[in-house]
Amino acid sequence: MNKLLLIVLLAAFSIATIWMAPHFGAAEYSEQIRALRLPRASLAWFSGGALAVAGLLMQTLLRNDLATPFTLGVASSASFGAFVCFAFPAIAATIWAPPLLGFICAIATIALIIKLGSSNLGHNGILLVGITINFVFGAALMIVRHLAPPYRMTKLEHWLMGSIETSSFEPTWVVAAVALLCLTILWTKRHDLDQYSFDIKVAQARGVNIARLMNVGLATSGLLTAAVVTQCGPIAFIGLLVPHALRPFIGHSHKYMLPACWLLGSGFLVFADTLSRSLLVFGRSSDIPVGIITALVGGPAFLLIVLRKSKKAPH
Amino acid sequence: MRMNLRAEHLCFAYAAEQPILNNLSFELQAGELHFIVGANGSGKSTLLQCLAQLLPVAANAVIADSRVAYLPQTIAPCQDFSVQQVIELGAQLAENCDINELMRQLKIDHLAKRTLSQLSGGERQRVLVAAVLAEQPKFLLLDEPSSSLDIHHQVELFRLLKTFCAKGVGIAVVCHDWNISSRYADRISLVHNGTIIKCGEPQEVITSENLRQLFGGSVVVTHLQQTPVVMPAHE
Repeated sequence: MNKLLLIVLLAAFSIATIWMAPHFGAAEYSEQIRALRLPRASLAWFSGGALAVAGLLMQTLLRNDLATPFTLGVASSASFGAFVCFAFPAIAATIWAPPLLGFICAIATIALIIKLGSSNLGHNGILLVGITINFVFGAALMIVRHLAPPYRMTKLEHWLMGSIETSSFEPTWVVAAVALLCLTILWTKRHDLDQYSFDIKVAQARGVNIARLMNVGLATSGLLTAAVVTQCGPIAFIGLLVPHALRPFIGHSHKYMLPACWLLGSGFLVFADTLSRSLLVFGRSSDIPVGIITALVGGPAFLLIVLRKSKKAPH
Repeated sequence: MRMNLRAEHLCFAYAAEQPILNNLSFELQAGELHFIVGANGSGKSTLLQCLAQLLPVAANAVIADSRVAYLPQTIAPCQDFSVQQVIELGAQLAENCDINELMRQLKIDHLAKRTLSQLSGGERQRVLVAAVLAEQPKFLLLDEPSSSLDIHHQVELFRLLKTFCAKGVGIAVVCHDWNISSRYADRISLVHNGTIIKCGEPQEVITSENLRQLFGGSVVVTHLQQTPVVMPAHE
């Protein structure tokens, strides 16, 4: 299928999901409820797009099909920062404290990864550093969880599963501003990313500054991830699934993959979020965290893509 | 003025006490097919990487008058690119490259939709050479481009490279096949212990004396219609 036509179809799907989202679920006749659902849908739209693009970027930079926005530990560190505020409300004086502390932790992690990455670690070395950071912040998260007052646990668990719960546009503006900045930077690097994904030495011979591309890529991917995780918690699978789902149709050119990933990721998360709050469990609205829905839908879908790919691969 | 790519008094070392290239000077002229030969570990691939400015060398140690393209010994794409995509990546750097014409010229137009993993060794090598040619470079640096090819495909590849030399492209090739070098080189540089000990036409470079310096008495040089031929010595 023509790549441009596919992108137009993805755009139609993405816009349709956000257009339709406020009309689904209980109390569909109330204008006020619909107005409250729009901020939530718009946050899902920007977050889904940001996670998909961050996933694409990580798979390209780390040259690893299994890389996700959460691979380098940015999500764990952002989660840790936000989690501390949720667990101990005395620290969180304002509603902005969890995302702010989450962002500070994420930026510190990005700076550490870039610093270590500039010492000739290579993409495998960076991957190992990321996995280590993930483990360390995972353990720190467990400690906070262990020490947190029991009455805070429900809120913490819900957030850790990745959930989009907002009735204002403020979180959307945060994610949108970061996404706009990062996408603008990435668009200028689209040709360099193509060359890098083909071969590092050839890319270097063709004038790509590999160290700068890695730094810019890691920083933008980290910022996109941090922006989403601090507002919605760690939402699984979008960053892994979306680039894999699109590659067989779009190819490897970042000129097409960047917009395509954004559109599919954003549409998919709005769809999953609408499903999460519209599903009725025992006749009642369940409001399952959206991270569960993305994992439930994304898991089998990813498995299908992998099986399809392995059938095509030469034996 | 005739364009060239040259290295002057080039030195390079990964570790301070172990120089790989030692005060080496080299010149690649426009329109020549220049073979770089030598024993394993003599510094041939490092020389190519320095010429492609992939390794840090002293300022003005490598001077290129025009665009240089480089093809390493092995390519490691992180995804399975199609032939068309690989060549398009090269063409991104050219001002006006007719990809279809280039593919026809290299007899790979029928492979356009296939991916690299679906190609034979010879086809893959032709595609990679096409990708660097798509950059429309004035100088081309190829690191062992024929190492995975049978003799038929080697001959085809070097005949093809000759046609591009005739159009003015200067091509430097690292090669371990002395007879191919002898047959197709305009000039050969003999690298030994990080420096060029001999540079000239095949007849001047491929001599029993020079090869003895590199390999002891394990090979001998004979001649076939005035072209030097390298053979294993009798036990």
